[in-house]
Amino acid sequence: MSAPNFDARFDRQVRFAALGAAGQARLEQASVLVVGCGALGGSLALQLVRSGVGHVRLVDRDVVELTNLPRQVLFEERHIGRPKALAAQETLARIGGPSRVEALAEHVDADNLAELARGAQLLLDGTDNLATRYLINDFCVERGLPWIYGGVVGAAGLVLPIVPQLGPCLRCVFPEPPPPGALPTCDTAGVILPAVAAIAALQCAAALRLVATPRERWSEIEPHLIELDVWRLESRVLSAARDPECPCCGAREFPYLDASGEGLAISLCGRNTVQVRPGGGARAAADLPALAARLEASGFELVLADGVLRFSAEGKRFTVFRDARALIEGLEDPARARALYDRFLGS
Amino acid sequence: MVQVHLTRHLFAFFPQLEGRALEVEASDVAGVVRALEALAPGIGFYVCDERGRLRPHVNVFIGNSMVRDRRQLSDALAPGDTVSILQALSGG
Repeated sequence: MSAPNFDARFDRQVRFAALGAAGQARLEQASVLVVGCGALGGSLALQLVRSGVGHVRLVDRDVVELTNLPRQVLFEERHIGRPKALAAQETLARIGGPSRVEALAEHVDADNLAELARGAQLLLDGTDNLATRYLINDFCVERGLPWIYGGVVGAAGLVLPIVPQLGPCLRCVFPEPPPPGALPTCDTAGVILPAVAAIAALQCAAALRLVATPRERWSEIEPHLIELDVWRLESRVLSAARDPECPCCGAREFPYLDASGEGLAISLCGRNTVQVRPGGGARAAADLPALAARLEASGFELVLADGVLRFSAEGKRFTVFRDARALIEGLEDPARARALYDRFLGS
Repeated sequence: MVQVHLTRHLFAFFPQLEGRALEVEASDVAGVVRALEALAPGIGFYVCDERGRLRPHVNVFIGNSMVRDRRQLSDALAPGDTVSILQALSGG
């Protein structure tokens, strides 16, 4: 079998003058971290790999569910129950090409973001919560790394490429995240694939442009906040500006980097699911076989596969990962989830 | 008159504004918020806090430029201006 001909593979892309052979070469040398591998993140990863980005690292804390399939393009029915990052990696591997795809089934927090982003020159937002986005913003501004915010609910979404010091950061535009319940979620307003695909496409186009453009020319890239509604064909391209009083990129205060992820219980957007992480010190590691044996002895039906343990209790479905993190489906209340975690897993 | 665009997601909370051409008399951004409040009671407190400052997950643009004054909403408007009110989105 002859070696793959990547020159031929990317011929049409290289013919796009704004990219050209030099831009394509930069893509193939690039390393990008995609945070979250669900609807936006999966679509982003697919486009990055199709485009020939050299190294794509995927990180996601979640497992594939039936309700993901209408909009999360990397997953099939056979992936249900598997960690999203690993299922995505499997799908992306079938595309071939020069990209090296790395997959990590982990929760992203202030404790591990630096390690997850090691070597990356760009971060892409495929998350489903604002807490992680404000953490990414602090991290990227502190390190001078570009990142691209994207959010989508219903048929509409927002995109904001963030190039620290050259343009606004997330907190210049939206200084703080809102309190719980203030925003519509995928649960209350729903979400459709065309909206996800369009927002991810805008994010990916911005990503390719950033990666293909030498850093000394990044100032030519205008900091546009884009709002797009694919259902009603409405769009706005707005000029976002730096806030001279921004606590993040102005005063260089990074409170989200200081917030340890330990002991967190957070409700996941539109999922009727709470993620619980163990507290009490260093990163935990669950002995899943031992936990499985204990639960089985107590009469629970369970499945232990692919590095995750799944069982049901109290009408809730638990998915436990090796890092002792658990997704508890069937409730929204973090305190109640924390209590169930403590009851069935201990902490 | 000033034309007002609300981000689509605000209509979930203020459905009475859905489908309406929003044109209001206002000489500054604070005036726009007051006019919207008259049309849809509660939207003023959704966009601004109890001290009249823009809430931190909300932003306002005049034309395609971000407002400068988030505290007093004193950015001036001229007839024919377009004001866009957006908020952060969490889904993805």
